[in-house]
Amino acid sequence: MLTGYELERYDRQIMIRGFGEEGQEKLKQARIFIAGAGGLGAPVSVYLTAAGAGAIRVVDHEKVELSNLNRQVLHWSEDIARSKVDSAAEKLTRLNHEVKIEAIEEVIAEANVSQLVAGFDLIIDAMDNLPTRYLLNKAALEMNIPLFHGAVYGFEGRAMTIIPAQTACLMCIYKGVIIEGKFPVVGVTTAVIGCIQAAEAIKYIVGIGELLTNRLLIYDGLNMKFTELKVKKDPNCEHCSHLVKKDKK
Amino acid sequence: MSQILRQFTEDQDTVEASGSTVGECLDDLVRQFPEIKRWLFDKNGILLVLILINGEAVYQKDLNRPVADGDELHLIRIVGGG
Repeated sequence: MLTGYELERYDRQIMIRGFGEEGQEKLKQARIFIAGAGGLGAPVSVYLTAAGAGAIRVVDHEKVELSNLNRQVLHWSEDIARSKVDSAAEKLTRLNHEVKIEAIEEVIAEANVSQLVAGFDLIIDAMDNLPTRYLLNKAALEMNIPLFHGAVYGFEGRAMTIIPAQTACLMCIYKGVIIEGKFPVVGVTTAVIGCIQAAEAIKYIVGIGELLTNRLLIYDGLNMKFTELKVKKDPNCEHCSHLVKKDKK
Repeated sequence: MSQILRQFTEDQDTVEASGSTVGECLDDLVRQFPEIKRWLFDKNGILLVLILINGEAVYQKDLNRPVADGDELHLIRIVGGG
């Protein structure tokens, strides 16, 4: 049941056709796992917090560095050398104290990924590397938790939503390719892609609209074009081919 | 091709390439724009791009897949930043 405060705070989104108080209640109950408190993690977490998600767990093991500040807008000059998740949790709590923000300063690894995401309704991929994305992909599929993928390079970005056992997964399309090294990026790119991920998450929770499934969205900021590529589940995918469609828990 | 790759094709988003298979078309692309090679393949020859031919994904194992005159190959660089 929404309080009077919540009805007023979220009035403008409750007004959206198909959203309503019921949608807001679903958001209030939602538990969201955000992997990464960097360039993508900032817009994703800000907009999900502002929208009134119930609980958000943010996991990142890094400290804030000066070179992060062009894009990781949750971290400010005075946060340099501070834990990114502590910095993020403080800002997000100030933004909306009704959202339960949990900060975990850990490396996401094969040994702990299942434990970290257990009990969450959604996983947001806000990572900065492909190997961890594949770990999250596998865990999401095995635990039947939707995964909201985003990635960036320079002025270019990608986004896709993965519903376990139903739609193409990261391994279906990327085949485990790993690209290492420092990547260029401007803050507006992570903002665009992060907001698309947050929009997908809100739509999924509320149950409205059409999700970005089986479509890889390509954002080209330099030419300001959005292109989408239809992708298919790979029947031989090593992550998802063995899965059977299950109803959401 | 995705914007990242256009730095190697004189900013052209579409180029013509010849070949009877996907792999031969990529070879021809590399002949025209040699610098693009290290962005298409890693040092072990593993593809670093997602290739779609007429909207269907093509993978490493499919490089011998025949192509017809007029087929469109989309080359999308896989990215991992965040």
